[in-house]
Amino acid sequence: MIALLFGTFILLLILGVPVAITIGLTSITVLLTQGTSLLILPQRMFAGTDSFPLVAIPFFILAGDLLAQGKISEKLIQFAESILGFIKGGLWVVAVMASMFFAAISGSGAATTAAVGTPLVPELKKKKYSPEFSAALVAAGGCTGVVIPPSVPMILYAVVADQSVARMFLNGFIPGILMGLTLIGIALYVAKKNNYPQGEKFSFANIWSTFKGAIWGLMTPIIILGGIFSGFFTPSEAAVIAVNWAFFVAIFIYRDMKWKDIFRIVTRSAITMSIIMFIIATSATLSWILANWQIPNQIANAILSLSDNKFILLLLINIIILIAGIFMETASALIILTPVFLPLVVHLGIDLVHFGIIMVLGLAIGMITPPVAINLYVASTISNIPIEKISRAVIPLMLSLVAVLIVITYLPLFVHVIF
Amino acid sequence: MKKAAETLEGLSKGMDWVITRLVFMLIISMVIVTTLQIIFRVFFTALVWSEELSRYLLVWSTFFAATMAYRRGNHIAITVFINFFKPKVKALFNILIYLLSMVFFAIIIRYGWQIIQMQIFQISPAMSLPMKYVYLSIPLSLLVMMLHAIAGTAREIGVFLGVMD
Repeated sequence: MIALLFGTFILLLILGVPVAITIGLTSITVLLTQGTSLLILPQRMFAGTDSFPLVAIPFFILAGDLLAQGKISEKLIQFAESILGFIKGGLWVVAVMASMFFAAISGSGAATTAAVGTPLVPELKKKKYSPEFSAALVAAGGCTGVVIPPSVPMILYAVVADQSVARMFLNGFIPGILMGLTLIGIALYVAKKNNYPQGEKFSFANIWSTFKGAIWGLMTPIIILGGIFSGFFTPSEAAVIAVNWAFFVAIFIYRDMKWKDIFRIVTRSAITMSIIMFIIATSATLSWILANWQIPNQIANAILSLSDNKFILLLLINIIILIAGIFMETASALIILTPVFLPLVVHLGIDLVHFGIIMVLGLAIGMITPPVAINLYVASTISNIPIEKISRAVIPLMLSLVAVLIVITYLPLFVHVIF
Repeated sequence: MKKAAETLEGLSKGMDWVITRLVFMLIISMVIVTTLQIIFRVFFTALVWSEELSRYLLVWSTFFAATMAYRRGNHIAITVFINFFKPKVKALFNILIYLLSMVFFAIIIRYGWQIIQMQIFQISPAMSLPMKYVYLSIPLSLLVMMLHAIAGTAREIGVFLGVMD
């Protein structure tokens, strides 16, 4: 039955059937051969989506899209530039810092890349920074979008693995900051090697005037994350506050959005969330099948018969996650792989929040590894540079993020800060 | 063939126009309900029905927005391999994908409908809303996807026959 399940799944996937429908058809094939009633399908599709923690997903996507469209990211970049512009290659540091900051507002990698790249890539080009590396850096910076909270993949993991969303969020900070610092290190090295000039001079007057413009954006993460970590709001409630805040800033403060834009952004973000949610719906049946026939346990036993060394198995899991990230989009890979790995991870005695961070970080790297590399596509669209050229420039950045993944995997103290 | 494909495309497009507006209202309602939940919990007494309503609005908007994603070809699929082929061969593969998807839609519509008939007396715990209205979102939205898939198949047949591009 395992052969039938994986055979059908891989065949349909390679044929080009959408992932959600592939999962549904695979479930139907297995249920039919096992003589189980197909009534379970619509039942599980309903049960899979009928969840209050998942309400956070459309809200975080909508808030991110609203804020990415408006002037917020532009003002944030001006503020960061006033502080960091005096460094050689400072505008690259600004790019990474702005990505990390926007990551604390948005829950997705593509939205972060778009929000930071759209205003910054043309400016980087104007100031004679290498356009390929600039595009690659913005794409790699976008990876922090799903590691620094809030994060849509973390919500998905928390729901699938039955962990606390807030705990996942809290433990995402340090890995996310570590990613950002590594990217800044590489950017500074490249800037120094090419002897880039420094930007504007350091001036407190300039910092103050850009700070006043950016204050509304700067307050956003405090509003979103403060509510969750103080325990005052559930993540779903914090997400709706983020939406209200984004509407408020767009309509009353910056006044840069018309009703037509709001309609377009709301329906577009609904499509984005439905792509993820539809996969959750159909895979709810598949995860029932997996659990019912104890397939993850069989896989765990097979892997454990090869080795029971925790370090080797973690390496193996990391490699599988990275390969999955090359060919699959983050949410679908996460929803499919998590239930498969869980029994093995529990057997090895790894904390499930720690494993969630490994999973999200590993799949975030997949956002910059072609062929399926959403951040590279966004960066390529913004910069008009062909994806092949950005793919080459992104290699050192990608390797540095893999190094962060290894550190996070084997030094859990970087994750286990707060519980 | 071309005429049939164009008529179906018109139907699919018209349906999408309606669904887009429905989804917009569902999302805005979800924002309002969840916001009310916070306001009432902080300033008055907690609402008993708001969380349930948000969840059901999520179910409805998920499946109806998924029809929009389906029409636009936005659902994630691995297209690396299929893109190697010439347009006519690719059209054949696309027809096969549409047919397989329609099998899935038909099965869910059939059993989804059966569930509704079984649930005829069941009501939701907080709002006493008949559950059939919540479950209805699944067969109904897959029926819409079926329409988009039929229109898409007709278009691909047109491409294969060389009457459309």
